[in-house]
This record gives sequence, structure tokens and C-alpha cells, in this order.
Amino acid sequence: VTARFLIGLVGLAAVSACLDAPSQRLTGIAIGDGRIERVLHTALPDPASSLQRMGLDDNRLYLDLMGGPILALDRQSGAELWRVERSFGAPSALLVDGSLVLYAKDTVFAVDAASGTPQWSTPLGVDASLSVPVIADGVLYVGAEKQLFALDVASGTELWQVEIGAGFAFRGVVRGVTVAGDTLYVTMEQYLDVNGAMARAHLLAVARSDGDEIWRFVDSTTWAKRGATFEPAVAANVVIVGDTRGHEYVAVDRATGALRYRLPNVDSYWAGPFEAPTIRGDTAFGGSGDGNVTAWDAATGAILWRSEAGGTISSIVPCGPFILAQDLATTALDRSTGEFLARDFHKKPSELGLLATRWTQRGDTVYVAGTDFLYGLRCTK
Amino acid sequence: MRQQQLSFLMVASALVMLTACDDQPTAPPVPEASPVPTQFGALRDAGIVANDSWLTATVTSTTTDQPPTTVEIEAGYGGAGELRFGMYWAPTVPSVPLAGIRYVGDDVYLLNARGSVISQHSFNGLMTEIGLPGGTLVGAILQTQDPGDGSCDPADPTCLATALADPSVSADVSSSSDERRLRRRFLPAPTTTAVSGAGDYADIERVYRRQRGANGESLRRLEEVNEERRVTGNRGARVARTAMRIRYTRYSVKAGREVARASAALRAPAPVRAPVESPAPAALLPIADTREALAPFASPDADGLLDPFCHQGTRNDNTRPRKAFGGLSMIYQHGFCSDASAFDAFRARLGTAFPLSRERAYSLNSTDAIESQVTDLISRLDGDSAIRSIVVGHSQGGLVARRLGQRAPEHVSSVITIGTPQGGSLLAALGPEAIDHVLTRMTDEMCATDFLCNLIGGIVDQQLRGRLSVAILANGAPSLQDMMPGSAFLTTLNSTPETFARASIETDIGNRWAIARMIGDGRSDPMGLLTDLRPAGDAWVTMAEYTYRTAQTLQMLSLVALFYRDSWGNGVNCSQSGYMAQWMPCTSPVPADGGSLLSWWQQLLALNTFILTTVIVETMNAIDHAWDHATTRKTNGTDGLIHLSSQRYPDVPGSFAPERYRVQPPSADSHSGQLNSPSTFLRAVDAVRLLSTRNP
Repeated sequence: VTARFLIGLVGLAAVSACLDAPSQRLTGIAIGDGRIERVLHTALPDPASSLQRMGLDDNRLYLDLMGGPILALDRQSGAELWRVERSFGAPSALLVDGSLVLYAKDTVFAVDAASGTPQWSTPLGVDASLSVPVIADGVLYVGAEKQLFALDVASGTELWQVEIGAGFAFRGVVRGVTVAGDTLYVTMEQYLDVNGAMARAHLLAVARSDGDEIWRFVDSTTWAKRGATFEPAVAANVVIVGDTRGHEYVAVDRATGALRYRLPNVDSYWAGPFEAPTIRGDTAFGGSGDGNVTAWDAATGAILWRSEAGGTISSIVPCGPFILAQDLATTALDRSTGEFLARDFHKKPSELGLLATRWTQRGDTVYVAGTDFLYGLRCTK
Repeated sequence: MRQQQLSFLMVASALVMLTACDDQPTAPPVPEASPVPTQFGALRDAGIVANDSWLTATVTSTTTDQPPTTVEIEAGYGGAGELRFGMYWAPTVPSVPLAGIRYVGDDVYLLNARGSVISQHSFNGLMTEIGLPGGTLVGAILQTQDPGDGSCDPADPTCLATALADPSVSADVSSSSDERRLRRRFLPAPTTTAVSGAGDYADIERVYRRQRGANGESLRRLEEVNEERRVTGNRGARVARTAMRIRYTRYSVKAGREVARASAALRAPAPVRAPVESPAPAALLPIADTREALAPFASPDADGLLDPFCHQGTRNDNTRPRKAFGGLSMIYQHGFCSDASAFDAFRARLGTAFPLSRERAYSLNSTDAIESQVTDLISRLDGDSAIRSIVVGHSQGGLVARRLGQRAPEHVSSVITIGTPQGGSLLAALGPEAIDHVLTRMTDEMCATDFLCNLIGGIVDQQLRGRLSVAILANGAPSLQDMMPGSAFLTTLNSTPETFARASIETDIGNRWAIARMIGDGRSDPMGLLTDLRPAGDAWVTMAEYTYRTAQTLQMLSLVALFYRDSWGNGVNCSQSGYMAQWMPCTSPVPADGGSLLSWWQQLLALNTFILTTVIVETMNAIDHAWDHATTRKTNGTDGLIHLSSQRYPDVPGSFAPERYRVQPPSADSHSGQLNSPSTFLRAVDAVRLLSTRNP
């Protein structure tokens, strides 16, 4: 009797304690008709570079690691295919165009996508590592400091370059380039003092053919503090910028560059947003520094829903019926309502690492890399 | 654009004139209130409500190299309560159509001579951004409606002109009540404008002051009891304190406790020394005296704790350029009781994320006054060529970094603070009496029974009081006095404009088991920062939570077992399917008297289990609550040591708001683990990316 009593007592205590222990997380999550599955899970030898966007094609993932190398991984298995060592800090985003992978610092490098063999390099003479370039129709458009370059992807030949920060008394930093139709949309910061404590944000539309400026939206006054960390997003009638220092989204008319609306953070105390919103149809989805994810009508700025997802959000992506937010961890929200669904559902308890890169999407699968693992998540209805 | 600049100069000079006039000791003859000049009638801002308070001024601009120009100024509130401010002039160059500029809230309108809007521009916080000077001067205009000395009758419409003391200024004040509203909206008290964001710290200061001055009389009596303990020895004191506690419980009000304390004190030998008043921060004991004063309090191993507590190394790193090509120049500044090695893992990783041209990390004497540390740092930096650097400061190092930027801006391009007590640290405010206060709360008020109070009191005396006495020692450090909320240093720091770019990383780990996370993080030694190992705070929190829950469960079960009676089991069908075989009524002989179903030794086991688990639960609660009491008071989040609102980088007047990054669970590591924390590091990388300025 005594033994049973003691066993029962200890057993109950153990069961009770176990109930409070962290539960085994799922590698997939089913919610309503939707489901997120972890289709790729690969350990990384070094942490991925923070806020970088991975390169992606049909067969491979290209990833910049903070420890130095650029990796090519098999998209299905995550197996390492090749690596290229580099001798400098994080480059600009990795871009893929057919058989080439390109990245830039003060020089643009092209390597063979299948083997990692160097193909060509073109010096820019100025630092492009803080800018997100873009490739369209065989042309690489890359910003560096106050310059904008167009290079032929096949040969690395410079097609044209323009200075878009002429007359700046202090530094200019091109932050990103987006292509839509025959126009390039470029974000740039103009430092208003030597330290960049004050800055002014520029959004330019330039012709793809020769870099001629079509219009320029300059946000705020001499005393303003504005900045865009990454490339703009283009919707049907507006171009939207994540104003990192102004703590809001700014939308301007795509044709004229006139201000259309501003969408400030709920709590302007926190920095961000760090990237332009993701546009799907008429809807824009954006995450901000105050931890909120917002869906709004891209044309008018009317908010459709807003939901708190965690700490300062680095990147979001619509994925099937979900919105995934990265604030070093992952939060899944319902795409149509913003309802909170799950957090860090794709990690086992032993995976203590944090997420670092921006989301990269191909079809119904999104990829994100962190301090220790690379994850591929497939979202289906 | 030139016309706009001219206009701005005009209005600036006009406003300066107006404010200067307000300072004149004697007022000239009172002019008649004049209507708005007709030549600018078309430009009049119809949005200023006719019966609202508003005012106009006619001034003559004498801008250099420009012909004198008459400028009309009007200011007031619109119907929606927004500030409206306009200036109008006759265009001197016909080809330039601009004849007026009007600010309405955050919008700026450019007007032609007919009053039509040529263009409109929107700005956020206009009066803050352009208006740091402008907004103040607008306020100054409105302030002149009432000098504030009682000489102006608000009902007198000519009073405004009297106060303005300028014959060229006319007034139209038709509503004294609205005028009062103008003052309230526009003219915050100087104390709130001097340090913008001071409200963030009000709570800390309030708690601090309460803590410092907490019930001075009772603390004095506690001091007497401690004195008694020193005289009579620990055993006697323990008995006396136990007696006191027993008596305390007879009173539910504070007065009863006071009587009990007084009675105990009367029975004890007369105090040897005079009552100790709660000292002001500046009057804290110097280190040597404090160490001596601590001796009676310290546990036997406390001496061993003192030396390693404040590790102050001498290692200095001045890494020469890694690259011939440009990169970031970095300075890393450690916190209190630390040295340059604190940043080893952090800087190793940062070098893989960005090209770095130079890294410097100096070990400063972190117990010195912060101004002295900054002076020391400047002297070391002056030895190198002046290169503007990004300065990353952890904890107290963030204050050093900011002050460095304020005093030697030629060295600083940006400052990134991590877990920095911008508004001061409650723990830094802990003096001897406050520690006693906290511990007394823990032992006297947070435990359920006298028995537990005694047990916990014993543990506290044996383990905690001596260890926390280290904090008393540290309290004598000048740098900690600088970090006391409301200190002169913090007041100066937080009201000095900063011309460099700023970012802060602010961490909230939640209040529960904060001290466990702090200890775990502090004891871990992850070398890889991002991959090899994580700070061990998570494991400590899990262990604390697991221990607490298990003890709590056993506590409840043993309590049920102790009081289980046969009568509880009446009606239970032991043959029912699924019934627990261990259910006592089904397995034990049922006593005829309906008493306990347990034998004597089973009851003893259950009793001991209850006592042990209760001690564990209560002690853990007491430690957790006491730590929270001493550092955050649950009023907000914490990084384990620094109150979240104190981590807020203040909006220094004359500077723009810094970029703030929020780090929250589950990725957050505590104060002691921040420099080894992947989440902090990744946010620091984001901040560097945003603020980076390449230096050759």
C-alpha cells in the first residue's frame, strides 16, 4: 500500500511536471484547410547573413553565410553543391540569371550556377554592398553609393551608368532597385550630415534603357529623417517604400511621383519597417518595427487588418493561406483575417537558433535561413 | 525656393523681434488694436476661427541684400484645434508668384497674391522638424498674450498689445477662454520641454525615491535590531527576530508591526550608535568605509565574492586596419565591472558581417565616474588619428559611448546602445537600507507562516544578505552613483543634443524568473555567439519553472494526503471501472473513527513533504519577487537588470529620435548574456546596416 501510495504520488508529480514542460513542436501545422509543411531542413556551417535575400532557381538555393562563403545547396535535399570563398563582408543580394549567380561589393562577380566557377568580374569602384540589385531581361541593375549601373549579365560589360545623387553635400546610399515595365524604381538615402544622423529619402523612376530620370520623389524637408533600407515595391498605380527611419510606409503615384498616402507604424517608437511591403493583387502586406503585420489596399492605403506578431519584424511573406513574419522567430497569421495561428512551429525544441535572412519565395514554397538551419516551408490550402 | 528661404528669414527675424520685445522691462504706450491690413486680406487664413484667439503682427524684414519687405504674420488655432501659422508679403519680383506661406498642422501651403494655393506639402511633426526653433517662437508669440505676472487682464483685448510691447503688432483677442486654451496647448512647462521623454523615467524616479526613502523610521528600527544582533550574537538575534515575527503576525496593520519592532528594540541593549538617516545619493559611503560597514553583514564567504564581483581587466585592443580598402571603424565599450574582453565574440562575428577597417576596445576603470571614464577614453582615442567610428556600448558602456559622442563628436559617427540604463538603474540605487528593506520584505511579508518566515529568514541571512552586500559595496562606486535615477550625470546626458546617428537595442525577457535567466546567462561562456552555444539562461529558466511546478504539485498532493479522511471516500465505488488502484479508500483499511487513512509514518512523510515543498515554493517566490522589487517593480518589462523604460534611448532636445529595436522572448537573452546573444547581435547588425558610414 505504501509503495503504491509513493509511486502514485511521485507519478502524479512527474506527469504534472511533464505537462508543463515545453511540448514537442510539430514540423508541420494544419489549420483549417491550410497546412504548412517543412520540406527542407538543413544544418548550416555558419550563420546566414542578416537581412539578406537568398538566390533561388529551379534546382538550387544560393546563400551568403556570415562566416565567409557563398553556398549553393540542392533545393530538394539541402545538400551542399559548391561553395565560393570571399574575402570581404556580406555582399549585396545574390541574384540568379540562367546559368549565372551574381553578387556585388565594390566589384560585381558572376559565377557559374552549376559549379561555382568564376565567370567574370566588373569593378564598380564604389561600394554596392548596402544595395539590393535586380536582374531583368539579361541586364543587371545595381546601385552603389550615388551611382546606378546597368551591366550585361552575360559578359559583365557596362551598358550605362548614371549619377543619381549629384549635388549631394554628403554621402548618398542607393538602397535598392526594382524593375516594372520599362522603368526602374530606385530608393536612395541622402545623408544630410557627415554622420547620417539626418537623412532624406529619395525615390526615383528612371528609364531602363539609359538611366534617364523620369521623376523623383524626395521625402520631407532638410530637417527630416527618412530612409529606405531596401528596394521599393510596385503595385498597379503606386510605388511603396518602407521608410525605415520615418517609421511608416510611403506610397507615391507610379506615373507622377506625387505622394499618395502614408501608413505609419502603430507605435512610432520602434525602428522600421525594414522592407517594402509584399504586393499580392490589390493588397499590400507589410511588417513593421513595432511588431505589427498589416494588410492594406495598395491603391488607397485603407487598412484591411492589422495584427501583432512579435518583436521588430524583419521580413514577411504571403504563403498560401498564411502570412509568415520573421522577427528572428517565425509567426504564422491567417492571410485573410490576420488572426494569430502559430509561432516557431517549424522548429524542434533542440533548434535554438534564430532566423536571419529575409524570406525568399518560389511558388508555394518559402525559404528562410537562420543562425544554424535553413528551412523550406510549403504552404497549401 | 529662394523666395521661401527669404520668407523663412523674414519670419525668423520677425519672431525673434517679437520674443525680444517680450523681454523688455518696460512697456511702451499701448497701441490701438488694429484690423488685419487690407492689402493682405485675400491671404487671410479663413481657417482661423473668427471668434478664436489669434494674433497678427506686422513687421518689416530687413534681410541683407534684399529690399525691405512688409511681412504680415498671423497665428492661432483652427476650428479643429490645429496650429495655423501664416506669413504674407507683397511679392517684390513680379515673376515670382509666391506671396505667402501658411502652416496648418503638418501641412505647408504656398500661396499666390490672390490667396490661391500654389502647392501643398505634408510633413510629419512639422513643428518638431522645422519648428524646433519655429515652434518655440510661435509659442513665444502666443505666450506674450499673457505675461503671466497677473498684469494682463485676459478680458481686455488691448492687453495683448501691451504685452507684446511693440507698436507694429496688433492684436485681436476676442475670447479669453480660447486664449487660455492656446497657452495650455502651446506652452508646456519648461520642465517638460527641457528633457523630452522625461516622462519615461518618472516611474523609475518615483520608485527610486520611494525605495530610498522607504519608511525611514522602520528602517532605523531595523538598523537597531541589526545592531542588537551584532551585540548579542547571531543566536540571540535570531531568537529576537523570531519573536518579533511571531508578534508581527498578530497585527494586520503596519502600526502593529511598528509596535512590535519597538517592543523588541526596547528589550534589546540600547543602540550603540545614533540612528542612521536614509542617505542622499551624494552622501553614500566611499568604498573603503562601505567595506568596513559591511563586515558584520557579510556571510563567511562574502569576502571571496568581492574581488571577482567587479572584474576590471586592463586589456586594450587597437586593431589596425584589416583592409587596405575602406570599411567600418568600430569602438566597443564595455559595461560596469567588465573589460574589453566582453566584446570578443561579438566583434569576431561582426567582422564577418561587415568589412571593418579598424576596431578599438579599451578597458576603462568602470567604477570611476562616467565623466572620468569618458575623459580617459578620449585621451586614448586622441592618440590615434581622428576617425569617426560606430561606438557600440553595452550597459553602462552605452552611457560612456553617448557622452563620448557629446564631448568628442569628431570621434563618433554613430552610437548603438545595448541594454543601457538611459534613465538609471534601480539596482544602482540600492543602498544598505534599501537592501535591508528588500530582504525584510522577503522574509517578513512574502512568506505564509511564521515557521516559513524563520526558515526563509535563515536562508536569506546565510546566503543572500552577504551576497547582496556586494551591491552595497558597489553602491559606493562613483559610476553607480552616476547611474542612479535622476543623478546629475544622467540629467546632463539626457538633455545634451547629439549630432551623431543613434540606435538602441532594448530587451524584454519578462519578469518571471528574471534572476534565474541572469545567473544562467552570466555563467555561460558561448564562444561561437551564434552557433556553438547559446547563453544558458533558457536552461536556468526551464529548470526554475520545472522545480517550481514540481514542488507546487507535491505541495498540493501532500496537503491533500494530510487531511484526507475516510468520510471523503464515502460513496466511492472502488470496483468502478478505471478507478485508480492507488486510491486509498480502496486499498487501505478504513478506520472506524473516520480519521486519517495514513499510518503515523505516512503522515510524517506527507508532513515533511509539505514543509519541504512549501519552503521551496515560498523561497523561490520570495527571491523572484524581491529581485523584481529591486529592479523593475513589475511596472514594465526588464532585461533582468534594467527596467525596459530605462533602456529607452531618450529624445534629446535638438536631436532626432534614435532607431530603437525591440527584442522580446523567446529569442531574448538577459542583461548578462546580451553580448553573447544571437538576437542582440542580429539586431546590432541591422542597426549597423542602417547607420553605417564608410570611413576611409
